[in-house]
Amino acid sequence: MTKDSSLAQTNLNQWLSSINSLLGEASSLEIKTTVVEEILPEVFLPYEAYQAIYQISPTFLMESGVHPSLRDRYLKLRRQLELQYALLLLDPQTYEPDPQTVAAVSQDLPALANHETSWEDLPCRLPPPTASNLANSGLADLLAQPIFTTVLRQLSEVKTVLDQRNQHLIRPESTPPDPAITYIQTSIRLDGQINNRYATQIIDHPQQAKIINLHQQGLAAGEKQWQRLLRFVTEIVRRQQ
Amino acid sequence: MVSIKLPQSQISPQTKIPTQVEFYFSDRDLAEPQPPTRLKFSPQLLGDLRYYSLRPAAEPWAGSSLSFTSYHLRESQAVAVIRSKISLQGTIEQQICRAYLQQPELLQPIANQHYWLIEHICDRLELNYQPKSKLLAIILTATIASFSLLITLFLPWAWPWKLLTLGVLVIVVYWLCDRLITRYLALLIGQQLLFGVLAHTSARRRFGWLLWRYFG
Repeated sequence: MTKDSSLAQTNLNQWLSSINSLLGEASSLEIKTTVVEEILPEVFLPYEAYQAIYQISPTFLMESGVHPSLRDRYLKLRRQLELQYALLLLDPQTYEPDPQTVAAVSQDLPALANHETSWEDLPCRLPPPTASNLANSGLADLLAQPIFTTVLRQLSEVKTVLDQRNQHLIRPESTPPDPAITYIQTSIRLDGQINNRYATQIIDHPQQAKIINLHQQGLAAGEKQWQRLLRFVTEIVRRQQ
Repeated sequence: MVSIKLPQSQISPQTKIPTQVEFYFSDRDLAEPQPPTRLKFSPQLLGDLRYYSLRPAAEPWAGSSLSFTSYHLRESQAVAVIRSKISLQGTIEQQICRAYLQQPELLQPIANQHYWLIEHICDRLELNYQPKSKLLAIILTATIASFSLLITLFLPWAWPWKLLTLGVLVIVVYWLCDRLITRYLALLIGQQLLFGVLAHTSARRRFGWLLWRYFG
């Protein structure tokens, strides 16, 4: 068996298990309607996101002129990335950790997980994001880990919001963009129970009727779209098992 | 007529994968009284759409959801008006551009067509399976049996023995071919279509889905 076909087989097995777990999590259909200033293109580049969060440190934040009120929140992102990596290092399915590493990481874990304690003095285990490292220090493997990149994506989204807030704080004369507001959220559980949640801002919104109408339309269409998508995917999965 | 695009990202030197589905509406499209009852998708686009709908679970960092965005073409500029992100876990997020809320004459027809197009795409994803595994097993068996018949002609055996050997051979070969094709061919096509050589380009994916339709 060639390396490529063995890789395709491994990926397919991972895909099947990932699909099974996604389908297992589907206990309700949830639809959210959000009004945003601008619908931005969705681009997520794992390496760049990693680089941006990896470099966060008290010195870096001070030198970059980040507003003091936000520094702790930036540092929290860096801590969470370090924590995620520590958890991966302890996972025997991801890495084959040696007992020494397990002992050292296990010792640091409580400090990393507790937001009240100081963690900056702990050794940094994340591989540095340099061009040479990407090829040979395991950084590429790390960025290929689904759990790690999922967390990285979430942290990167939080960082984007923090960056916007920071811009407004350091230049108060700039007009802050109107925030994205999720006006309505409907959840339809498998047992048929329906829950609607409305944001308070919708009560006196001038386009209230329009937003509710679009949400209802999205709800009716979304139900059918999801069912059909699910039918297609489950049929493919069934034929692969 | 609305234009449908699937921008692709290069994720490795050989592979480009679709990242979202985009619909573009000009003012002329929006002026049409009714959307078409059925859209014709090129086999290539349909192949990419099927592939795209299976990929998010392979890249959870991409958000595990399918993204459909409708754009309004205005003075050579495309403005994103509405986006639906559908995940397999059952979460649908729809984003609406604030500026268009104040222009219901544009937003409503775009939203109507947006929902209709997604539904239509989800409808068209399903493959019209036409299993041909048995036929392939029969063809392979017939080919092997023909060669065997030629060989047995030159063997110094009595005819009853020749026919008996040939009969047993046909049964065993058919059983083997049928078993191998049913068990492994679908798996092999699936692997290659999602992650292997059939995943690299739109043209290969189209061919992969064709194989899947008959042997998946």
